[in-house]
Amino acid sequence: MSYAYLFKYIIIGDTGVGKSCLLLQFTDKRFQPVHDLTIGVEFGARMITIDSKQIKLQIWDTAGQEAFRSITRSYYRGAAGALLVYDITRRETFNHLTTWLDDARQHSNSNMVIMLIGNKSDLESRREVKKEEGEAFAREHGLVFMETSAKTAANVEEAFINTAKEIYEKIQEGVFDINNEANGIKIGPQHSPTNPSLPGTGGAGGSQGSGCC
Amino acid sequence: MSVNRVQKLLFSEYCDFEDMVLIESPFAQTTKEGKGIRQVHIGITPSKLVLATDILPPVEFGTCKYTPGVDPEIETFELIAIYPVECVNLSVYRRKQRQALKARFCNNKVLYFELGGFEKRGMFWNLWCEKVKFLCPGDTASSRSETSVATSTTGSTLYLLDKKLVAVNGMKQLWCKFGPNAVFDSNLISDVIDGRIGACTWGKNFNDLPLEYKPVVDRPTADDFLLRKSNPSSNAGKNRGFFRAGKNYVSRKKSSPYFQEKGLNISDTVQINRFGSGVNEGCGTGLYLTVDDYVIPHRYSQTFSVNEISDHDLPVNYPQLAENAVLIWEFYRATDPNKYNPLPALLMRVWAVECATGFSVFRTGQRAASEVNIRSQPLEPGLRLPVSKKQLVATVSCHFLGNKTNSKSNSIINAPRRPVIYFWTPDYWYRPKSAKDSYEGVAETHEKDSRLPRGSFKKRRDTDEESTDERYFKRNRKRKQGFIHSMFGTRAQEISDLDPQRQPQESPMAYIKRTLKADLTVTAWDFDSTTLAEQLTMIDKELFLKISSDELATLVWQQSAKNTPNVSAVIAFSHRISCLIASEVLKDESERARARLMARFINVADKCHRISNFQSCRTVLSGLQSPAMYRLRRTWAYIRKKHASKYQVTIFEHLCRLYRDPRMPTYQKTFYIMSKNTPFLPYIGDIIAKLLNKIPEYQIQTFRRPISRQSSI
Repeated sequence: MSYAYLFKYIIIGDTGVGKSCLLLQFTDKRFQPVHDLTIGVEFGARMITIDSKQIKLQIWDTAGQEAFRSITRSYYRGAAGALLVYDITRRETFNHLTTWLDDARQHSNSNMVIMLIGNKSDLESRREVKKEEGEAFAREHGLVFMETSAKTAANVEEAFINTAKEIYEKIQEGVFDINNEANGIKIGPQHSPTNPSLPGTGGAGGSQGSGCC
Repeated sequence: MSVNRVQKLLFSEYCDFEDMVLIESPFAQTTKEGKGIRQVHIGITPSKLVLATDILPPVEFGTCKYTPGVDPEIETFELIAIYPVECVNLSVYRRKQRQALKARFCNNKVLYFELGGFEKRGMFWNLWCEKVKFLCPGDTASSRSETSVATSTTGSTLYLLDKKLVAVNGMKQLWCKFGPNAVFDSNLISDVIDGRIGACTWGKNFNDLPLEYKPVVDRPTADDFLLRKSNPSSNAGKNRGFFRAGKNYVSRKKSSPYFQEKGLNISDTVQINRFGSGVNEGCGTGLYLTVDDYVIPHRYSQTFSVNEISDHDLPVNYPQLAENAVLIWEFYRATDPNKYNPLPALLMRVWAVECATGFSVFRTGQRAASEVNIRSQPLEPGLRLPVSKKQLVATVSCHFLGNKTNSKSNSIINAPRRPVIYFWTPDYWYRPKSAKDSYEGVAETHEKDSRLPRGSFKKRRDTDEESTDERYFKRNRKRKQGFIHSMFGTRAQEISDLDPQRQPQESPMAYIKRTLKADLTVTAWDFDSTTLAEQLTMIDKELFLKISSDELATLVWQQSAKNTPNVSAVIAFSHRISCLIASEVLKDESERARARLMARFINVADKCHRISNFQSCRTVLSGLQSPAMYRLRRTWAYIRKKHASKYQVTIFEHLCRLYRDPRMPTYQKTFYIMSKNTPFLPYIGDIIAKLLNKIPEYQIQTFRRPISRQSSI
């Protein structure tokens, strides 16, 4: 499939907050109540349309476990967006957000759009973290906030698409240097007129198959 | 179709990975039986296993167009997942004609892949087999076998053995314990979990131990030592205070009205405070209550008053009884200052009741004590211990309990023929002492102090071959009543009958034994660093003195510790203590508590060093330097910040540098200086290294020069 842009997303958060379920809901539109622990990283991809442009979201679903934390860190590099997920029914996942945020800020580029997501909003009865707290946290750290439910699919699309919109706006504003690969944005094949003409920016683009760089 | 689609994908869309794909092939993911699930491509890079698949979008007519610059081979190709290769165990799973690989992940997920493609399948299959062999070199032969699943699961990569929720700095984290496949042997796995220190550490080293390490096969469950609450109905109103923090209290009785009333099931647990209502267990353990003459009678009268109010169904208050038993024990221990010997208490085979989620650190400690002794049993039947390992590890080991009966029981000839329970003592390696003898020591002390007529604890030397302790006590029940009567008054009969469910004829003494087993927990918090250092020194000394010169000769000659039990004992003890330290620290979840405990252990190491005890110092240091400790970066930072005033970290760093390697000249120099003044205890590794000529010869002259500087430190 041809696309105008490719955004690399990364989903981070504590183990068991529903990262893999969010991804599954977004890419496959289904919910799987029982899910194995993620090891390493799993991927999902989906095309969305923003501003009549095809944008491919390449989503990296990371392992939330502490044991894989060091592996996860190496995946932050070159992500354009991050979904920082916590579980509204588990207070400690909310408490760990700062750690994750520090990690993300430290290992990725500064322009990365981070969206804070309070997952499992369908479990209203077991809620431990108020929506206002999430909003306050997001405001404090300059994030976008949204409560989602991977089970009922509420706000899942919006979460991903809003992030994409924000990235897209930043591209339009020129915040992101789209030719710099480290930003996590790649230009689609038919939208890369600059690439062949500017060999200096594309790096080793010539040797690569799809010429996306 | 190209053969390097995964590589292309990694170079294009996923150019964050710079890995070279070693081999890649189309596969069909199947079930175990071979039913197809989906098509995947598997690639192996030096560090990762890459799974990719084709995701074809729904075809819309009219949108099919050629876009220049897009490689059609990978246009619809997407990565599914990337696994670190150490988390996957690949093995050849070939049944009959299927050319299938089996991937077992460290979360115990298992996937089967059957080789696909149509070109050069045989060649690719051989390549894959080679790669699998290369990745898992341990199972070359067995993995090729076509017989069973079991053989194909062998491998060399790590498995997730166990997980544990740990809270660091108020954050819950899942810690995984990885280990080699071999530990799937159920005995070993219980052992690994048992000795776990919480992090991904020394899973493999278990097999590498130079000892004939035999784990405990039958660990008694907590149920074996819990009180059976025969009729708890009277507890409902009166003794609500018992159901507080403390031990899990498993009730067994079915169809009790109380249970029906409360909606409890047989497996439900209620918690109980072992010190009874109104007693604040502030010290964290019962062993350090100051028990004086006043307390015991007072508490007993309390017991009886409670009992009088109780229902007829429950003449005896079991928790109170257990408490009494502990009190009795403590009281007579406390009266004899010579017997005050806390670290053996720490190392006792104490029965901390296991909670559902946490794990008891004492397991490690218990093992530290017991493993040393029961590693291998002598071949001669006369020297063989007449008890099972189960009994051995279940004992309360009290060095100090039996001090006075040493003369009587310290010979093998005296070892009873019927099953007895042994205590762990440093000298137990050769001279086991039965629980009965040890308890007799308690009884004697008691009789002496309370001037009661003796007779209930005469040593029995009859010849009949009773098979169990219970029968023994049953027969002699009448004779045993005296002591118990003095302790429990007229209630002795009831005490003796308190557990009709399991042992209707159990004697009071046996009951006390049982209760004593049930409730003893001490933690590292209960000892100050001086005590710990002294006790470690004493134990290490005892173990060290057993090493004979012959044994060292054997060690050097055979270059292995196989036939040197005493050297092994020292090493095993050291290993266990360091594990115990790590688990003690990790048991506390808050950074502050951990830091305090670690600071205390640093103090222990320092004090050991100051009294020229190189062995214990090295042990404690290796506990503190274990990977599980090492990775507590924040806690170390906290120590550096908060405990810096005591210069503990400075001490620690100094000691770490010093003890880094016994071959270092600084270590040798310090050892030389310190060994000038006896007593000193050398580090066993240092001795072995010296014997094996691993230590370069240092000139004594070079040591002499900085003596003044050294002594000033």
